[in-house]
Amino acid sequence: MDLLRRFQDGDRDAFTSVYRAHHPAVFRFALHMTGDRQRAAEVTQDVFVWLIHHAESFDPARGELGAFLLGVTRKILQRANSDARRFLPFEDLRETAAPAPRDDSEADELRRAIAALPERYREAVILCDLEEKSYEEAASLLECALGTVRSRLHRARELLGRKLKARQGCSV
Amino acid sequence: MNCRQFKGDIIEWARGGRVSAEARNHARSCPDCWGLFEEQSLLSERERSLNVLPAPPDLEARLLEEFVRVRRTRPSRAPWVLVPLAVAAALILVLALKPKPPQPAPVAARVPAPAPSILVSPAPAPEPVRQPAAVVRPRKPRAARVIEEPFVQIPYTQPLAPWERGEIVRMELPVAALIAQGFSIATSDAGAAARADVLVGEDGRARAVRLISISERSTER
Repeated sequence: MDLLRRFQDGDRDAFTSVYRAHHPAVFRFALHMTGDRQRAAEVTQDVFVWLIHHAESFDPARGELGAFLLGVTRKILQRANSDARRFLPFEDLRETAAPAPRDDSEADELRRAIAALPERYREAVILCDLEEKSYEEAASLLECALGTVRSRLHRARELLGRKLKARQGCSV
Repeated sequence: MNCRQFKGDIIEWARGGRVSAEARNHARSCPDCWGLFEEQSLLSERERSLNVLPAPPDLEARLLEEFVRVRRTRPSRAPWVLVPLAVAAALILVLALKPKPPQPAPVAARVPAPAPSILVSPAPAPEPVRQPAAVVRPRKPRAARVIEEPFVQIPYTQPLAPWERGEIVRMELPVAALIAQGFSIATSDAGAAARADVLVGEDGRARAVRLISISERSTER
């Protein structure tokens, strides 16, 4: 609390402490959501720049800063996605971009599978499985019912399980 | 019970959650559900081993630069502190720029508000000293008695505010009307007319009266 107040009052060291405590979770969430390290770094930067400019927007009485920042990250990602849809309407334009080098390790395979999930399922997997949030925390973050989070997670895990199984079958 | 009913529990079990013994027994006895459990357990294992690369190290330095830049250009006070200050400054500015009230207004302001009692003395009034311009010379000094009185507030009316404009109108009023308004005028002729200065506000309502003279009917004739 004291750290937050000092940060809101403009203390540079307090901001450094807040950044070091919370940026890994923000970066991880952005990385899993985008599947791209460069984009995840940009989103993380956007989140903390937003926090610098709107430090007073966070009310400690309403929840933890970590959850608040994940909510901000989610909103920034959604806006970036809608912008991307608006400015790249043609499918053939995507083909002109150079494909990213493929890494066939199991970890990257899973990362790609997660990144390919529909957004609502991806969020559920990242929050509940990778970030180990409870259903209640995830529901609060995703602004939906607890049962909805649970069903989305189960559906996402089924899709991932099938995809990985199929991949395993192909490699064998 | 069919497999569909246990699917959620089996996924939860594979995630490391607590599920009913019934669901566990079903999974062990059903090859399809056991297959689902194994698949989900493998997924959980892979998720746990998923290490994430750290954020670029130069990000912290860039953000600190931005933080310092923003703090340098913005005062550290929270905006809610600045709002009352801005309101107070605006009020002071409005009051300072407001035009001064017109001259007639102080007439009402310096009028005390005693009980409206005007006593007409039978003797001729002395020469006006304080405001000679406001005094009307009686045409018939013997018939009209000159009274120099201050403005008296008309009962049950709102006095003029310091900034409100007023106008003084000289007129003849029936003494009976003044008595009806609550003024106490000692005169033997109820039909007499009084010459008075009336202070009229911006809204057209009379606020105060200054009696100048009374012309008794008998003397007019």
